[in-house]
Amino acid sequence: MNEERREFIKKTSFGFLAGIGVTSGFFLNFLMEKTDTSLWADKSIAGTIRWGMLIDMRKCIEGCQKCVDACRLVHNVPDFGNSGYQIEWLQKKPYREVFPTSGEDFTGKERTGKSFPSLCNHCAEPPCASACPTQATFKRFDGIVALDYHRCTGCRSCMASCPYGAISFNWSEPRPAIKALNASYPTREKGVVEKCNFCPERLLKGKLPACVEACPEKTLMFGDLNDPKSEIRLLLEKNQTMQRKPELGTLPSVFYII
Amino acid sequence: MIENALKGNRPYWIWITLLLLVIAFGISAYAQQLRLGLSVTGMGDGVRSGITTMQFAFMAAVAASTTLVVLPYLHDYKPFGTIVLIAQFLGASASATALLSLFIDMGKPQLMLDLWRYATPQSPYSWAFFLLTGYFLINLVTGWATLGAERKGVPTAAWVKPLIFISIPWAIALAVVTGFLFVNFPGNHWIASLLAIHLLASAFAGGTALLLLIILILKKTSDFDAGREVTDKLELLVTYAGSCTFALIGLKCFATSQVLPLLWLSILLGIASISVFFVPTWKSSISWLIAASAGVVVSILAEKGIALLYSSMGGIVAYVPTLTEVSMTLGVLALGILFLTILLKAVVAVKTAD
Repeated sequence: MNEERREFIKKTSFGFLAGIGVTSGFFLNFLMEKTDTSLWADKSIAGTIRWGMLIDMRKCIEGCQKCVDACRLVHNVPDFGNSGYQIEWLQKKPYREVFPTSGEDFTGKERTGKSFPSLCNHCAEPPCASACPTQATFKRFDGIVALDYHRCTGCRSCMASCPYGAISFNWSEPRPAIKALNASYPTREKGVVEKCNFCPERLLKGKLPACVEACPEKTLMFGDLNDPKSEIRLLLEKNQTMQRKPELGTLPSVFYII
Repeated sequence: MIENALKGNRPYWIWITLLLLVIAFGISAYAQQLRLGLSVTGMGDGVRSGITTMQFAFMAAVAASTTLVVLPYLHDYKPFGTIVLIAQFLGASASATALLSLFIDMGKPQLMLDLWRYATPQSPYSWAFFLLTGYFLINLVTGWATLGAERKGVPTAAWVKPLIFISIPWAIALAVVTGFLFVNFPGNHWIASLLAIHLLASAFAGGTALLLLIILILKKTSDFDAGREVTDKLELLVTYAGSCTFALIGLKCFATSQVLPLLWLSILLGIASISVFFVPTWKSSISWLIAASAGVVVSILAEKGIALLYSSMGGIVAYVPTLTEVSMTLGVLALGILFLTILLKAVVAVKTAD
């Protein structure tokens, strides 16, 4: 190929890329996906949504890991086994670890013998978002406590402030530990934290979170807590429910029927 | 002034070589962490912070404590005039050490400057970073300007004093913010209301004891002598702040049961060290004084180290720092000490010039 022509192609393509770079700086939302709220048309207006989850433990099958596996697969959560560096978005934990302050230690095997799905509570007053020095952890318009992996400096302030131990840190390179790679969701790198995100990437397509969809028993119920007519609200009204460590005032959006 | 760092006797160069050696070890260990991630440390599930975090907390406290010397000096307490420069440079070095300790503890250190870019007012970590950087600059700049003026025999520039005034609330804020940072530490739940005041008191006790230690070492190794009045005053400050600190640690004993023996060890060592300052015959011996101030420092360090024993979700865990982690932490400490040595070399050269 002619030297000059090569130079020309090189320069114009650089110019083109630079142009895209500059304009995307001006139009920050240009490349970002927007939640199509019409897919949730029966819900309230955008800005008043507060996504929440209700976990009905009467239906949960002991030993079933379908929700956990689905979450791992969808979000490329690495599996380090029992190396002491485990990453968990959603895991099933014993009663005592999930509700250590509930004051119901001695209520019998039926309650304390089960393992409870535990995930990020997407608190209305998230202490992790206040602790983050770069606003990498922040509360979205729809109540989801989200995490920007690119802005995370790996200081672990959020982990120290989360009373539920819902945030994991990538102590080493996570990519080799991903069992099956899902190309439609990004992987993370070493040195950043990660946690349950309530699947906004699925919500914007009108789908339910992966764990909710994967549960064969309909144990997990997902919906808008701000909508008085939503199924989750009706269930919350009819049943005696629990939140994790409600005394801390974090106002979790995840509720449990024991 | 800085050229004095290149002139020294044999022990001085042995000291510098030693520090450089430790720094080299630290750098090689840090290179390993950059390659493999924080898994090279003893931290992991349940252990979110290790010895680097503790070094940060202690050094931030030391930095804040130097205001105890600066404050009386501004009130025209003349005897402290001889050591106020040492205090300022100790403040600068300790801030730098604390900042570096934070830095090597970050998962993505390449985003360090984002802590400035996205500074968040509600985040204690953000404040700690901001206050430490500011405190480092204030102390370094005012100290250097004062030293330069002293060398030339001219009065200090007019802008120096207002900056020193700012440094006083700055130091107190630094100690308090570090307290906020540790509120969420496991084991601190029931004494959360005492944390800020506890960190302030322990900072003043530990930091002043360290300053006293440095002054005594300078007296032994160089021609610089701060004088009896200064050391007496510093001992008094250590006694006051130390008594407060050990009383507060005593209160902690009521709130916890798991680490009681260690708390008692810290309290007993602290009280034993302080009591040296009350016995006139011991007080007149420089070796006893060095041992006593080192005792206060160790006792406060031990009390801070207890936080490392707790698991993040309650309970006690076995945390053992790895060799890599220890090398990194010591490397940062050595870097801070090297910085202080160079600054103090300039101070001693100017002070003993005539």
